[in-house]
Amino acid sequence: MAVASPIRAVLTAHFESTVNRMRKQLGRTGFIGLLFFLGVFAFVGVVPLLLLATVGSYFLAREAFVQHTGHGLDVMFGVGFTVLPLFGGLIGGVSGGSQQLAWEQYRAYPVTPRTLFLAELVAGFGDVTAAVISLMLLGAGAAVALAAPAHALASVVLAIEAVVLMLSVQLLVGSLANRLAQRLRFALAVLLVSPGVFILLVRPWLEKEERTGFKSSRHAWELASTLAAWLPSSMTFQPGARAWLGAAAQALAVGAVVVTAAVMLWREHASSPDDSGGPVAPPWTFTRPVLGIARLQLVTLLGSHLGKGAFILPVIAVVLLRGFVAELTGRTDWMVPGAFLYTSFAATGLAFNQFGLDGHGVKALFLLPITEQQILKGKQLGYAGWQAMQVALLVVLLGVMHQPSLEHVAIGLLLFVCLFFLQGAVGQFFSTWLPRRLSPTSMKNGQVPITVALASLGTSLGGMAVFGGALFGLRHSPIPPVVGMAALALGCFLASRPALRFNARFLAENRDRVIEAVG
Amino acid sequence: MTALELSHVTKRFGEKLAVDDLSLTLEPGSFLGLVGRNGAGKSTTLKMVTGLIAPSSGSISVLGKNVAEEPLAVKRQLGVMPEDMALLEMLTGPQYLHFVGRMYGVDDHDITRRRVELFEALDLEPGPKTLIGEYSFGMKKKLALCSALLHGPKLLFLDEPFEGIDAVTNRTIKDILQGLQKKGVTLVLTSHILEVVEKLCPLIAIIDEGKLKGFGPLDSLRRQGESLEALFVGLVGGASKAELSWL
Repeated sequence: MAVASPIRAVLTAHFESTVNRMRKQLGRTGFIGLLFFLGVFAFVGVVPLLLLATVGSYFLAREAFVQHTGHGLDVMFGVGFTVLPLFGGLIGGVSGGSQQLAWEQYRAYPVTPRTLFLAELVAGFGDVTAAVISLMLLGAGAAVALAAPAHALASVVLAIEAVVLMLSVQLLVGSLANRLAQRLRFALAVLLVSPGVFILLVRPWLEKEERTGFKSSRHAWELASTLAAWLPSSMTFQPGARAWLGAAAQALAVGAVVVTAAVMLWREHASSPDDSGGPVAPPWTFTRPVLGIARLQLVTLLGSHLGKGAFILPVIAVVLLRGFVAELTGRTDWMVPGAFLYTSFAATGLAFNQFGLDGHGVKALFLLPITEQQILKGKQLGYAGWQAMQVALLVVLLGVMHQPSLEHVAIGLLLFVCLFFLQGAVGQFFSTWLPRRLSPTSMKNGQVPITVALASLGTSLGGMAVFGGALFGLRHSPIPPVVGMAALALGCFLASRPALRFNARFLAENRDRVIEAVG
Repeated sequence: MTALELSHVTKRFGEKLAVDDLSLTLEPGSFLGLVGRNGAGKSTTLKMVTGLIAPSSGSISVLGKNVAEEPLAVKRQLGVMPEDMALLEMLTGPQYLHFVGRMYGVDDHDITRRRVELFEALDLEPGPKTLIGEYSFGMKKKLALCSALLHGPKLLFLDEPFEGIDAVTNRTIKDILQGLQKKGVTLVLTSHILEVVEKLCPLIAIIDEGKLKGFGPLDSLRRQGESLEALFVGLVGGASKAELSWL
């Protein structure tokens, strides 16, 4: 059987699923609107990027390889053909730009793992980042070939290799993200320890650098430039034997990444879930319906890859906001609340799809002799427990690494509580209106309807602006910020009660939507 | 050449023994009803035969080819309708059948022709834009059967094909299966509806706790006038009669 047929089957299925999903979620008018939006986005965003990559590469290549006037431009091309695909693969892999179809399906069909890998690799073009960067790389390769015919073969081959490298890295990163979530405790331990160790190691060096006027940093930049010139992709643009050596090394490196991605992916998917044979968890019990739903929601969240993955956010928040951004802005008083805001902001996805992880169990949930209000309240409690664990982790990390004042921590916590109630209330509505099933064994929160994406972004940013603005105002008023924020949090809690009743009524009227989409 | 041969097949999941030293042989054109209680090992056996999971020990041959050594050649000859159906729910029925057909290397023209015939035979009339996720349970069952038949398999495995199917379609499916058997296709069917198995399958295999408790033509296994249900309960042991005190 020809290899082309399964590849075509997988690619067509990817494309058709995406179009069907959009059409179903947005309706005909919404779908046309989205196409229009994407067209405008392509025109104002993608086209300039492609022009920059092609036209820019053409003129730079003429300068570098024909007029020989641009010092270091050859190295810049080499770095571009290595860094851009790595960056694109990383972004695409994290955002789930690969493996959109259930791999288990494929095992029943008479196709080899190699063919399936090839199909999934090519299907990686479905991710916007991968598609745009691929076009940029191929455009740049073609432009260099046109501008400098002596380097035509090298640039075209390099561009193709770069695209293959990016698609492989995308698969590899997606696979790694899943594995990381499977080994949560190990990953958490590493993540908890590593920022502290990193800072301990780097801090004395940074202090010394400050005293010596960053002399070593300049050396480091020179070293990086030398290393960049020795990158296989950079060597390919250099004369003589170095070009051949670079080309061979680049081919070997790309080949190694492709093989690694293929092996990892196949090992991940070849094992049947039936083979695990692990111990069966004891059944859970509860005393009141709301607590029962809360416990079920908490267990579901903690048992899912997405729920586990969210525990990385406090670590990122501490490293990003408390370290890097604080150094940049010099405003440490906003950094602790900022870390709380970031943690809250980054976990919004699950708040806007509270039934997503229930799967078929959602039917059983609605068959229980309890009200919609009890279901939503229970889910909110479970969600609160899950977020409380993240906050606890954040507080510990902040305490160990930065010893913030109690007041800053309290303000951060209260900001978090305000946002929790806001996101919960809006999230409950969208969880009923536009629900979608989520896989408990995948890190992907993909196929988010654009309406939900915009609403969650708007809610989070709006909440940040309102509550952050209130905090700013309190800092310039006679009321102590902690007291003011506590009053605001209480107000949010009180406001969430009528919102809960409204959302419960909405859920009662739209149970079918949830069952149809998730169950 | 035998259609299916299982030789001392065992499957363990950790400590649990799911299938225990199972051996049986089927000639081409056989129609086997595989019956057993929930968790008896039927689905695990089907998964091993179809190459979805590997046996812990023993060997399986399909139409003279070893499943472990030539998995692709074996899969090309098989049609499988799993109990959970495993359909791609974001595709429409025709899109899904095109996906399946292409995976088996059937050309587009043939896929369309066969799909029209299958839909007509099974009275499946989904809207052109209706997604599989929006199908009723019965429609999904029919579509899963279509996908198992699309490439013209020599050996067909059907896991609970009659569950959730209306009476008319039930009859159509039976006719299709019997027609396939006459054409030399080997069929293996699992079902908890013993009356259906009794009427449809000349060969019976009863499996319990992973072991084969009985295998052969139904008439050679049962006593005169005995039903399959009586034979089955007799072999696997019936549940004790429980009194429900609150009812």
